Amino acid sequence: MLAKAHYLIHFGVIFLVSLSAVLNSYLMHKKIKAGNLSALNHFIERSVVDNPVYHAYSIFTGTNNGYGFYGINVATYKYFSVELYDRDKKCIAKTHTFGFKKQNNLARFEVLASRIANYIADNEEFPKEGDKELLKARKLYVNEIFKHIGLYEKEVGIYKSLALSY
Amino acid sequence: MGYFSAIACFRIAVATLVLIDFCCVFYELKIFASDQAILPLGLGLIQTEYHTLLSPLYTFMTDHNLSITVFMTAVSILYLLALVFCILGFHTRKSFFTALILQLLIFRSIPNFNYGYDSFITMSFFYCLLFPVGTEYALDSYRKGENRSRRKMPSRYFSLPFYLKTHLCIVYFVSGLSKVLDPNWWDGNAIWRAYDDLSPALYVPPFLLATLSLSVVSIELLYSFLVCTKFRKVYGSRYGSHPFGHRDIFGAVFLCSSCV
Repeated sequence: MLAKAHYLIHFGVIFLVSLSAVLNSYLMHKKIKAGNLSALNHFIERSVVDNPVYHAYSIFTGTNNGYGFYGINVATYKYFSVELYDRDKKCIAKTHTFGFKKQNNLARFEVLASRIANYIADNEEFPKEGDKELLKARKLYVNEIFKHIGLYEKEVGIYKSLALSY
Repeated sequence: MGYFSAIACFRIAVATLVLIDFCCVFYELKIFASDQAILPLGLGLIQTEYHTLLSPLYTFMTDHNLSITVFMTAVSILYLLALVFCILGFHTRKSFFTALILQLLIFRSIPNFNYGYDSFITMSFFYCLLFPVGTEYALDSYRKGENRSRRKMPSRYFSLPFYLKTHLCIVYFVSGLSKVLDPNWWDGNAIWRAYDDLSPALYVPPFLLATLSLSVVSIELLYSFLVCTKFRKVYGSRYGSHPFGHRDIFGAVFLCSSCV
């Protein structure tokens, strides 16, 4: 009985949350902010996703994601590229692999590029009536990410290896 | 193959895959998580649900001049050790619990470098913790000297294959549903976008892209029904091995789950 209850609750919640994630992507893609679908999505988010007990359980069980792999609005391949210029504006170094030797790790790093690209797109579509301070913080976050990636190349990556080779 | 042997194979396959993948990560761990990481851990955690959980730890370490490199290296070595114990089936439940906690600690500290594979690994570890995966091909079975004939088959609602099958049904159905809602999956545009790092010299006719797209959508939506038929093994193996871009290891995890 207990096993059956766990099975039903575990998978019932996973299905509901996954469905909500798909619904959320669809509504965001179609820019739908009102209506029955939107209300249903808000209800699932408020009653399940935002529940602290579910939140802890989902982190521990790895079920806190939506499974909409390459689903709505598939993004193109994204990657970071850093170019270093000298004072004469001559490109002295360039990289998009950031010293990663393993393809698997580079694939992990490219996840950040996709996330930041989505983040920038969301910032550009940020509602005009929205919180100005929030938008400012979001833009600052993007700048900080780019700054650290650029600085890493200057202090640890290709620039340092160039300096050592001279 | 019997039930207990099958779930033991799942244990060995998953833990071995994770060990291989983590050896790769460990090789370049300093770029992901160290004092000289490409992104400070605190900055990476902002905008994620793990911020309130993990940020105090790293703030404390930074404030007290404790080395994140040393901490991450120690945690990673413990994780590798736990994985070896999981493969060998030595104190299996304790090893999987340790591996699960350490996996969460390591990978949720760098959420910007996580993808679906990491959640699948957490899920697989949770199932290995829940089910008796250390009763066959494990040091535990020799250590405890358990009588095999006394083992009882679990109920349908508490068997690992049934859990994995249900989980994969939900995964594929929801994934198929999200694809069917996007017109780009009807004309092949989405599949072209997903593989647009192909050489420009390679031309793929639009009708072929559309056929591939529709096949992917159909396979995903029909998985829940076909998995109950005799085509399950072939279907699962074929589809489980499909590539996720450069993330072949992700496909390998699906393959493990499909084959049990």
